[in-house]
Amino acid sequence: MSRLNAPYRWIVMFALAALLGAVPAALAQGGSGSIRIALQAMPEGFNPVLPAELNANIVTGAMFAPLAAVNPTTFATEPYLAESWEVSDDLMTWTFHLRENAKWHDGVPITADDVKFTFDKIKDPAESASAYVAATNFASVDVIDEHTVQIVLTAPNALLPDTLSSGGFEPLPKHVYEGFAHLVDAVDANTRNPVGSGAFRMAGVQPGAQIDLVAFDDFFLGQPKVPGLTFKIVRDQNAAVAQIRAGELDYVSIEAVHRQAVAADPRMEIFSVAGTRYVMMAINMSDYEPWHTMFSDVRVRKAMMYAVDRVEIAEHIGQGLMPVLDGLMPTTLTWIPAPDIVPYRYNPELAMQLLDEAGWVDTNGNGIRDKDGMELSFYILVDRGNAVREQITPVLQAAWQAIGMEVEYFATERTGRWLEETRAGTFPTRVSTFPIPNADWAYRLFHSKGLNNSQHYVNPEVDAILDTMLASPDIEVRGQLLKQLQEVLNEDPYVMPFFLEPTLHAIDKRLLNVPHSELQRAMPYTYLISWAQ
Amino acid sequence: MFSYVLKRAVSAVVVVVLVATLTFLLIQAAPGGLSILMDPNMSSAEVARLKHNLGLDSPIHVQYFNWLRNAVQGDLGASLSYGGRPVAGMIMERVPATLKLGAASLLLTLLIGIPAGIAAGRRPNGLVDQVIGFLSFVALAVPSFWLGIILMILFGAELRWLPTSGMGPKGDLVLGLKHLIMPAVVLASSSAAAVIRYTRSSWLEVARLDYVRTGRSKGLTEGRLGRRHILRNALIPVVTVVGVQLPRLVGGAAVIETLFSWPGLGQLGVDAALRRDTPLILGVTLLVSAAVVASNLLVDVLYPVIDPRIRYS
Repeated sequence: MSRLNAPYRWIVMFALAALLGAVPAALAQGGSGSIRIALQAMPEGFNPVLPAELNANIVTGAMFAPLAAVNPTTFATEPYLAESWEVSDDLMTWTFHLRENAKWHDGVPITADDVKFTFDKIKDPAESASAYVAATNFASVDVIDEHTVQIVLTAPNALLPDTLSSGGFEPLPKHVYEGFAHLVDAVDANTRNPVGSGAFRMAGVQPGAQIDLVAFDDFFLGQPKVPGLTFKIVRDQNAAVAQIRAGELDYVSIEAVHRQAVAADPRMEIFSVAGTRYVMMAINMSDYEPWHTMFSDVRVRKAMMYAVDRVEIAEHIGQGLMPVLDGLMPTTLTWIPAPDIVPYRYNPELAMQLLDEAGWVDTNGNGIRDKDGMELSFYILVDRGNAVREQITPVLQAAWQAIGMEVEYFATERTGRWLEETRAGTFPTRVSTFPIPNADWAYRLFHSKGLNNSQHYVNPEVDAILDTMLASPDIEVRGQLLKQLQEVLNEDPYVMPFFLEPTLHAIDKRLLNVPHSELQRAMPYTYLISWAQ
Repeated sequence: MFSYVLKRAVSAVVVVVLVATLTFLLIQAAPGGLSILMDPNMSSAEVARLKHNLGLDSPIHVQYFNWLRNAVQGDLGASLSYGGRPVAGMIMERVPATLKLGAASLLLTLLIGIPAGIAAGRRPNGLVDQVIGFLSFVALAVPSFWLGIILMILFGAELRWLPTSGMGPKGDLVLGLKHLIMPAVVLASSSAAAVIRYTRSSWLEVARLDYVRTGRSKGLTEGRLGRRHILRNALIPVVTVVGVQLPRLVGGAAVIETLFSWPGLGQLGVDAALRRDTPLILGVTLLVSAAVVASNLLVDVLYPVIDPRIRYS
């Protein structure tokens, strides 16, 4: 009999062994230890100057100090590694004064030589720096003294600190990188043992599992109040929720669908972070046909605005987390006065009247408006994978079809057709997001020469406003100009804003002074976070 | 036997090269490209500059033959997305984690699958057989990521017995084992169920043969009959099933490793694919395809050991 039971014995023995190994453990370290933050993917590396995705930028944001940073609460650009700066009257020469107590994580003082070395590398086309294009405006970078560096520009720019705060301009340690022909050659420093300047320094990498940073005691803004940051790689949001409830994560961006599950955990609090990125639909304004014929008439674009119930979209698809956005600058940039505009509200009758006036009428009775033999027929491109954007797109399709347009939509991989048509400028309309963390981005997106003007929009009045803004050192003047910009663009619409993209953060209640901002933007300010006693 | 193994080894090399070639072509045929170049805010000129710096502006066939030439010499190149790290080094640092998880899951598969299959086969249609049959069907039907999430919620979030992600700190054996339990159980669940089904049916088939009846009529005990005469013959198809599971030892299990943040090759392969990092994808594919071919060869070599009637001429 005992022999017959041998298979069962094995099973029982293994189960016992498993259970013995599974005695309750003190898994939840929260309350005093490192803050455990979820990352959705393993960062590519830890060099903030080289191209990388968001997850890498989050980690390097805690390890490398930019000269200026965007305050996560006020969204004002403020001194960080640079203690102060001044600019010449012609806005061509910027002088930055570095903090004298700033040190690299290996104890070597941070000097103007490091800044010059890094910026010279960034503007070298042979280097693969992500900020290369933005640095093409640098005529020279000169060391004035050990802690003073001067940047001479080729054209006036009042927004240089904004540019330097946008990522990709964090100084690198010259003594670490100068022995290599190119930045990418310093593989060890870029991927395993980075020498940074921020509040936290590298303690160890377990590729694919976690990255451990520890507090840098000599950080120039004061010793961080928590012992470290542990970034755990959690690709799956369901797994992240399980880890929150298991007490293994303290600080996580979550999706709205998980709000209820996380809210059930008494340890955590959830807050909604209004970012500076908003969901929008953009119309191609290039000469590419047939879109140019369809959309060059402002009445057609206004009709498209009136046909869509954006309030409903914000309420239902946006789950009412953020109000509908009417201007084109994020309301979180509070230094920009509210534009004096009459917002577009759902009015299909007016939309159809505008199309009639523009000469787009259904002449052959097939339900599609046409003009000079061309039917008002186009498509919407949306990148697959973002639930909000994918839900908005069929609503747009239905709204425009209701006023006599023929509309298809294609949800494609972001790296596929969506990106190819965006870069080539061949799309008719696309649903995407606009990131505007500072005024510099307004120039990039709306100026005819803007780096990110993927819609190929050209409006001399808008260009003049943005050129003036770029040459205006006074933030109040810049605010007024950006107000004016929104008023002009409201009358010549080609971008339909919906709402600021909200981010839900689940955070351990015992953490104090957590910036209520996007994770990446919060990182330079993590030195202020502490555990409640 | 030797000439057979030699022939198979040569064909294995051809298969691996074909797999690598096909993988390379598929990567090139897919839309998009290296993820760090997919920022819509990058202009075409900027993308061209970075491609030139990364050596991606040369013709595809030149890129492929460069890679193949270096790979033959043991150099798998450098990752395009992970800061230029050598691919071979990246793979090697993930191998221990994958071997640990694969070995644990294989051990569980054998420890559960074979005894449970035998138990079910001994009393066909009895209570034990029906319970084991039901459980194995459930294990086969349930998607592994769902089972993983359920275990995470139950043993991680509710009971707090087991950690839900990673491998734990180095050097702490007990905590390391706790980290291993859930991913290994999930990974083993479907393969153990398959082994149960095969062992049961194979056992039933062999148990009906004349020589078993003869042994029983000569007075052999059921235990002796089972161990000495049925099990060995019944194991042949089971070895095939286990052989299919073997590549997991090297290839990892992408879904499970991703779910449990287990830093193995499967997760690296997923990352490489999502980032469209061609050298890294090729490196991982090369290793996994070599493992599949090697495990198939191993199974074939094991057949005559288990059953002397099988001979290769």
